[in-house]
Amino acid sequence: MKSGVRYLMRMALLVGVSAGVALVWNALAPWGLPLFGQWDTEVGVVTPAPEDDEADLTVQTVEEAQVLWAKGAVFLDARAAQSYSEGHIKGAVSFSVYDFDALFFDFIDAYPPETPFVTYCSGRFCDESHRLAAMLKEEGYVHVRIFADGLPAWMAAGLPVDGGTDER
Amino acid sequence: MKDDVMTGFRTEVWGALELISRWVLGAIFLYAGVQKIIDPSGFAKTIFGYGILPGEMVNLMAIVLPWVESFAGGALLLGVWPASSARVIAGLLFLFITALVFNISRGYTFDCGCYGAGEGVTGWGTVWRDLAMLVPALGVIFFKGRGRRRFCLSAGGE
Repeated sequence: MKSGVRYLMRMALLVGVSAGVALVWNALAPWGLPLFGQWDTEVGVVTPAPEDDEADLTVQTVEEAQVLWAKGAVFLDARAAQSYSEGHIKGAVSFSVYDFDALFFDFIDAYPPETPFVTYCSGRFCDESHRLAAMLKEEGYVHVRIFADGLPAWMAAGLPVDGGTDER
Repeated sequence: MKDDVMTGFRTEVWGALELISRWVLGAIFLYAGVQKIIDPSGFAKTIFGYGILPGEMVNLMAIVLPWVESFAGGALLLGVWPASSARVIAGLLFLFITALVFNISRGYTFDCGCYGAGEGVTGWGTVWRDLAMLVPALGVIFFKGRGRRRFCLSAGGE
């Protein structure tokens, strides 16, 4: 009985120390997470590290996205290039987050910082759109928004898509 | 005389098994923990994918759980409080098995994330693997009295 209590105390100590180290490490590591992520699909795409103005950046509906598209905002397909070539929003530019560093030099030449952008991926359960938007903001682009429902909703609404023929 | 030899032999075997169990289990948990520590975002998405914890808990779990795995695994490797560390690991395995079975029973398949994100999809195989790991964990826990734990920094109070 007494040794049982001792085991419990040691287990608690082990877990407690681990948790303490975890929180300190997380605060210091450059890739540390905020303590609370954005895991509510009503708010936008799910992501462990939301921006402060995530909700404002998010384009919630297909209709709203369509308005931006008609106004000439540049749609950026944040998914891998392969997915882009299999089908994408008409006129969208492929900008895979996975190749960000390689693609960015050409990108910065082609688009001034005031260019209005809308990023998307394949819905609220992917976060490439969020990550691309965060990366572009960090590079000084000021009008970047996230189309949360992405390509599937766009297609479901019967809006124009390109598939395979329009690679840049 | 012969009995003494047999008893001594048995003690040796138990001791060797305990050491192997401790090191293998410790190495597995240390490895699994470190894989998640270097990619907390990926692990957070995996936890979200399990669809069990409320959103407010997801990041906290992704931050803390890998360190508990690593510390418990490291403690087993070094032989620090082996019986207590093995109890923590058995507890973790029990949690994992519960989460896996719960999701399999409601028809979810998803990224296991057992050794870091994108490692594979869950299924009964994952459950069996966790159940198999419970065996050495229980072995380490109930070793007391069957011999002396070897290569331990602090096995004195178990």
